[in-house]
Amino acid sequence: MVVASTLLLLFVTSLFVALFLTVRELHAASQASERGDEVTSAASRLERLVIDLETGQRGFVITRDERFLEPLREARAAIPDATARLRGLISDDGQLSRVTGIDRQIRSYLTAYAQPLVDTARTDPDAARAIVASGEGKRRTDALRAAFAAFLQRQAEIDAAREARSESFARRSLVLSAGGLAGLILLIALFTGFLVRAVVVPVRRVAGAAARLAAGELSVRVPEDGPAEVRGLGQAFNRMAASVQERTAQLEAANTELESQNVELEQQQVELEEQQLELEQQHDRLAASNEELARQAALNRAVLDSTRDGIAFIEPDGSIGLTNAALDRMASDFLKIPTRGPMEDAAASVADNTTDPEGFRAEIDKWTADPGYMGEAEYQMLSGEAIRRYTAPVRDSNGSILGRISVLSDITAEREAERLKDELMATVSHELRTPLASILGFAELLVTRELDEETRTRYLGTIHREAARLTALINDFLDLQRMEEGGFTLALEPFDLGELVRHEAEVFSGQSTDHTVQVDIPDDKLDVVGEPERVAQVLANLLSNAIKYSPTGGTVRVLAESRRSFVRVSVSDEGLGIPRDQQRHIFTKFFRVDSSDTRRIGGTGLGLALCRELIEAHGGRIGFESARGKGSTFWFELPAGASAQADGRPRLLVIEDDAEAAALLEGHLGEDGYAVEIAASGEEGLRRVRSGTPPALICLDIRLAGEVDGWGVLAQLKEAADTAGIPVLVCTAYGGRGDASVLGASDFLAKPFTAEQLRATVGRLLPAGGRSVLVVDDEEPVRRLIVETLGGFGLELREAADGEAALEQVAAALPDAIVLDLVMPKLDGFAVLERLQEAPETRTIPVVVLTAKSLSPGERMWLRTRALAVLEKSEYSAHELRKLVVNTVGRS
Amino acid sequence: MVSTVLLCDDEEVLRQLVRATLDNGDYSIVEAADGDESLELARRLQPDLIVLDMMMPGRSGLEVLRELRADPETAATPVIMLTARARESDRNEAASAGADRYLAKPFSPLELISVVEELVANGRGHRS
Repeated sequence: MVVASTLLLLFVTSLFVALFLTVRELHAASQASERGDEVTSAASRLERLVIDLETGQRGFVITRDERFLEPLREARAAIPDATARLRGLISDDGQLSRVTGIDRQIRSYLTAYAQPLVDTARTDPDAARAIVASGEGKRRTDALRAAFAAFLQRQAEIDAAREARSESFARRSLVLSAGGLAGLILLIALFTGFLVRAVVVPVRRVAGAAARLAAGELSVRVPEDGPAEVRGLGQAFNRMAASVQERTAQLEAANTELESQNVELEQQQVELEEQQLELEQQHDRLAASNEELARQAALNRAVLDSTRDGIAFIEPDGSIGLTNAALDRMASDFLKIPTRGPMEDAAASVADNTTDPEGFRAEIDKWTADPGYMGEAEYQMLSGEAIRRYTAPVRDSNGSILGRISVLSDITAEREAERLKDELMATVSHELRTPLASILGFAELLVTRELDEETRTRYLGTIHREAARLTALINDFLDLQRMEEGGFTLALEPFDLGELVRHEAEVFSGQSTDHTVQVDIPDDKLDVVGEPERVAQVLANLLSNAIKYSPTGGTVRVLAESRRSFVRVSVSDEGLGIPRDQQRHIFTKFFRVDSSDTRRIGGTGLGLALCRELIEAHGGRIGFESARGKGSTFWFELPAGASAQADGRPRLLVIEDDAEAAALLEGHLGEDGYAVEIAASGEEGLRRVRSGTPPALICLDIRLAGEVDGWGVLAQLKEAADTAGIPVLVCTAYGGRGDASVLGASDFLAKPFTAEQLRATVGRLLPAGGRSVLVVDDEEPVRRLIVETLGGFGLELREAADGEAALEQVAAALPDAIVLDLVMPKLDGFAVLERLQEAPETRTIPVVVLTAKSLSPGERMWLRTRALAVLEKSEYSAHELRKLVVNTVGRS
Repeated sequence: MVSTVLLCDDEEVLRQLVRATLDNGDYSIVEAADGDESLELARRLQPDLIVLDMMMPGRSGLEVLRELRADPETAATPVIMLTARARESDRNEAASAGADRYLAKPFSPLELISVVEELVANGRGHRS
């Protein structure tokens, strides 16, 4: 390959050198030819100058006109240059010598002929002409011409020879070029064939193999022959293919490995996904159970915190692990301990605050020494609280000890209650045993000793007093007990408290000659509502205390006054006064001001407690003002009574000693709109009837406590002219209807009776005065309801089912009141009201509207000026309707 | 020989009873109506016997007793607790405070006088 390429390159180079040389020679021939033309031209120009010179010279000789000398001068000036130029162009020696000859001839012509001729012409024209005629000039000119002709002839020969040689070169170069070109083409063809055979085919083979290799035929190889480069290429390809095959094998192996790994990984991934799913499910379950745990924990916490007892859990290491709200409260309120940290620190603090620190510590030592210790103990705190502590180990289901629970109960209130109970027991015991001791002791002395009459009488007097004291104590105690239990009813009635105060003051004034009782009461009646006997009991208690605690000769002041809605009574003494710290206990039962004087004075310690119960049962208030050494003023207030009774309701007197039965009657009759008064005995009943306005009706029990029974009361009432007319209804659990009738009772009700029976009977007995109520409603059940509601008051109840019927009824006889529905057929309630407004005699009839219609504000306004009241059926109240109608009819 | 008996009770009628009980010429009776007075008279008069109520205004009978026992002058004076408090615990409390006898109200005057006689005799024996 390289040799072939080198040979081809050498051949091409030689060819080009030969061509270059030929072309250079051609170029030189061409240049010589051009120089030959220039020589010819330069020689011709020189010849022309000579001719011009000769012509001019001749003209001047003839004419002597200077103008003809101009060419002569120009020629003379130009000839040397022209000659020199020609000489420069000539390389041929023969020609050069010819030029030299020409130049010599010209110079000679000028100097030897021309110039002298001109000079002569100027001086001697004829001489000049003679010269010319001599032909000298002509000869010389012809010589010059001949010289030039020879020169030009020779120059033409030289040029022709040069032309011939140039042509020969041109032919030679043409042949050379054509031959070289043909050789070159041949060589290139040969080289190309060689290249094709030695390079392209193997390369194409390699390319094909590469393509097959690329296509995956890894075993493909090419022959390693041919030129070195091609062989190298084949070898390189084969190595590459081998390498590729090897790498591919490796890659395939690796790939197989990777694929198996991939399968494994996929398997693992599936497993992982399964595990993840499992984990997620576990997580969900955990979250759910966490939530449940949190709820449970919150519930446990709430339960713990709802417990009244303080609970602490102590960890096995002795630290406080958990406390509930109650314990935290106790810790901050009175235990004054931390609720975190070591239990021993807390225990030490608590121990220091108890009245028995040693005992407390000993208990704690037991805990720490024995994890299974269980025990309960009570402690009194220095701050006054009492606590009970229970402790036990906390065990799990296997019985292993998890820690210790300590439960603290605040038993202060229990202890206080127990203390009070003990104190009360001790006091009661003391109060009972002291008079008993006197009674039994003196009785024993009477029995066992010989005593004179006076001493015996004295002892018996003491025994009697002490027995009376014991009786009073027991009575007070039982009264108080009843009142506290609520089984005590008062027979309330209006009475003049002033009168009662005056009476009691007189009684006490007579009992003690050592004291002055001053009374300050207005002349006007002081009407209150209450049970006079009980109020008298209160007053007696206060007066008794005032006298007891006043020094001898002291004054007790009693004051009664009316203060708007109540009457106030106060009793002042000049005694010791009550120490401030004991004042708050003054109404506590068995409490007595702690001093020797009070012991000397004596008393059950129940009086003031009883007073308070009684006054409060009356709806009143009791209190006192006191300063030590300046005496005390006790006062009470009772509701004023007169106003409550002055409402025009019919007064009924119930004479009944059984409080429950009285209350029942009062309830029923009060609900029906009567003003009910109760007398608890026959005597009281008679006093009531005689002292004030006679009642409209008397309900009389027959079996009565006291001297006079029901029959006696009835007889006395019927005997007196002013009370004989009062209707009496005998209410008794025993028979006697005939007796009652004989004695003048208006009616008889055997117990037990119903409210309806009572109402009907009372209604029948009370004089209605011919009063009538018209009930207007289109619904029959409503009319029946209203009639039932208003029945039993002696009212004539008429009915109308619509507005027109109502107006007809009104026209027939004016009713004392109308109960009117609004929505009715034919004529509605509004129209009825309008029609009633038209006539003066119907305009004043009170109308109670009872309607189911929801009224607009405008309708309400309209009704307000025309109806007494508007009641709604949806809020129907028999009591309200009854009160409204009965009161209205009673007033009108 | 007449013995001095200090009678401490806030109830006048009880004092009358005890006075009547011991009214046989053997005893000179001094009365006190509260705790403070009792203590004061006991120290001043150095009685042969003290009849002491428990529930009295001011110092209670028990407090008076404790103070008497703490005072060398009265530490050995015989004391009869005469009280309306009749519970076992009251009795024990009185005994531990140093009471020689305990009589609960109501009491038998005959029993009281025999106890008084016994204690006065013992006290005289101790002193002589």
